Amino acid sequence: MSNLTKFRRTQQWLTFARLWYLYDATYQDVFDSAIVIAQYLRGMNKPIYDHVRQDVGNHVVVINTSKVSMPVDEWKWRMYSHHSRYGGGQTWAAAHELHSKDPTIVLYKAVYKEVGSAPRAVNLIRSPTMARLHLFPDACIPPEIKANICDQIRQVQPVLKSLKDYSEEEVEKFPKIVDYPEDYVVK
Amino acid sequence: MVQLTQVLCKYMPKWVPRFRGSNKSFMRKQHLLSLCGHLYGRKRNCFRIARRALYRTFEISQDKRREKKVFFRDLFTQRINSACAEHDLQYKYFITILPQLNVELDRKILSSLAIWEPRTFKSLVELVKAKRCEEGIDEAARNATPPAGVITRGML
Amino acid sequence: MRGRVVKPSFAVPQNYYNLYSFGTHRIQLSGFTEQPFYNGLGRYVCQLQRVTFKFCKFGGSSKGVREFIETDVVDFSRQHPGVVVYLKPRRHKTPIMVTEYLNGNSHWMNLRNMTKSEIKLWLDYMRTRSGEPIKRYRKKIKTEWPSIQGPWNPFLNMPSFVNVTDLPNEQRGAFISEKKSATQQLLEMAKDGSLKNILKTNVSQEDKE
Repeated sequence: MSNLTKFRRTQQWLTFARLWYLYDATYQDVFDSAIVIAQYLRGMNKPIYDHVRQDVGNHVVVINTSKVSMPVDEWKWRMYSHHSRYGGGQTWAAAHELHSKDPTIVLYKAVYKEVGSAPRAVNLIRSPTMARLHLFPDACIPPEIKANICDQIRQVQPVLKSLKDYSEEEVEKFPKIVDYPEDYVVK
Repeated sequence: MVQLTQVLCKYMPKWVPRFRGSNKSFMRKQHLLSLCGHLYGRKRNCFRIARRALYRTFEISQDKRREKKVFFRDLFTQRINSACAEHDLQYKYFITILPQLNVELDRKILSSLAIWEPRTFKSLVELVKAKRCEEGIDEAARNATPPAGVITRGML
Repeated sequence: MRGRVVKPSFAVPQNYYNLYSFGTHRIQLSGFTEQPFYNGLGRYVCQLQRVTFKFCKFGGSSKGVREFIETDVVDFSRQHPGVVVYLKPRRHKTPIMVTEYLNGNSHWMNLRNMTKSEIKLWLDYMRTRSGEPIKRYRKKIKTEWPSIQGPWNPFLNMPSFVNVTDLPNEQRGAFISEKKSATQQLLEMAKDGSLKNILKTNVSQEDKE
């Protein structure tokens, strides 16, 4: 005999609610942020996490995927392969080539790897987990998706600013630690 | 095919078919077959195949008994980790500083506290944060702001 | 096999096997205690509600049941007025007993060739049961209210300003480093005035000379 009252049932829904998280990928490392996004997709941010009995994953909406970054020369050296299942049908593309064609696919592949790099039980729920990932190349989100978002994931690294982003006043105010010698020729 | 215990066999009604003659070897086989109910096919009906399969299950279950301890420890660690991250505290600080405060709770209890009594868990986290700020071991601890509402001996 | 499986007319309904679970812990029924342990502390409520005897008036296999009905069934129903006893004669079939309980479970039992005294014992055994099946307990304890403060939910530790602000929000989403960056330290030193010791301008070099 179950004692599931109305109050308890809503308590259950509240505890196992799937949240929609936002992640801003501007100037963020692809591989570091994929680890964090995969954790939220699998529900590892919840203390009720259990990868055997139930799926407690969240939705993650990622914006500005076209602005993601990779360490040093990784855009150049990282190769992605694709096989068309015909003889001699394997092709390779560098990360920057793939990114220029589809600005979301590099992050998608990184998250796909992180979600599956766990025990066998997780691989069964890999496709429904990846279905909860929503990638957008820019800051525009469809209103029906934006209405669901209720929290934001913290970024993995600071968003760096170039000298152009600072105003002239800020540059002048910044404390000086080195002075050029008098005979130094500035190019 | 259903095997019964010896006690139930004795008090069963007369219509239940029973083995006549010496029961010793029969009962021994029945006892073994009674452990094979979960196996598939001839593994649960034929004695010679069932014996082989049963010994194999013993080996597997012995391994699983050892794995179970590691598995649950990992799960509890993961749960505490996620619960700490909600309060912006790292797991490594939480688990090392708690015993210094003479709060000797194991991972199982801490994870169940995080799920069932979340406000108790939050107060434990704040204790750890206050202790960490007070000692100021590393640079990160010195920069952190102590939580409001925790009174330590140093304050008095 | 194709299509819907049609059970034969003599098939026993599934809920008639409720009270036993066979085998080892893997295939056994498992669960938590659901019996009313307080039953009998104040007053005792018999969990058995009705018993049905199905028997043949002529067959030898139901001889014991007929004897039981002649001698003991009236005494039984007088002693236990809460239990309804149904007698259902039917021709040329083995006698059976179906016991139904307060929680909805029921148990089917064959009484073929059983004597009067045996039936009496079995009936007494079924009467004293709670109606819960014999099962393996996953835990020896059970609580209806596991949480006093209310269980965790994803909105519990979320700061309330997130509900009001428009996302993405820099306060919620920006990276926070544990250590101070060099730029931050430099700005603080400039405020304190401790930066002057580091700065070496051309003027200071001339002073040294």
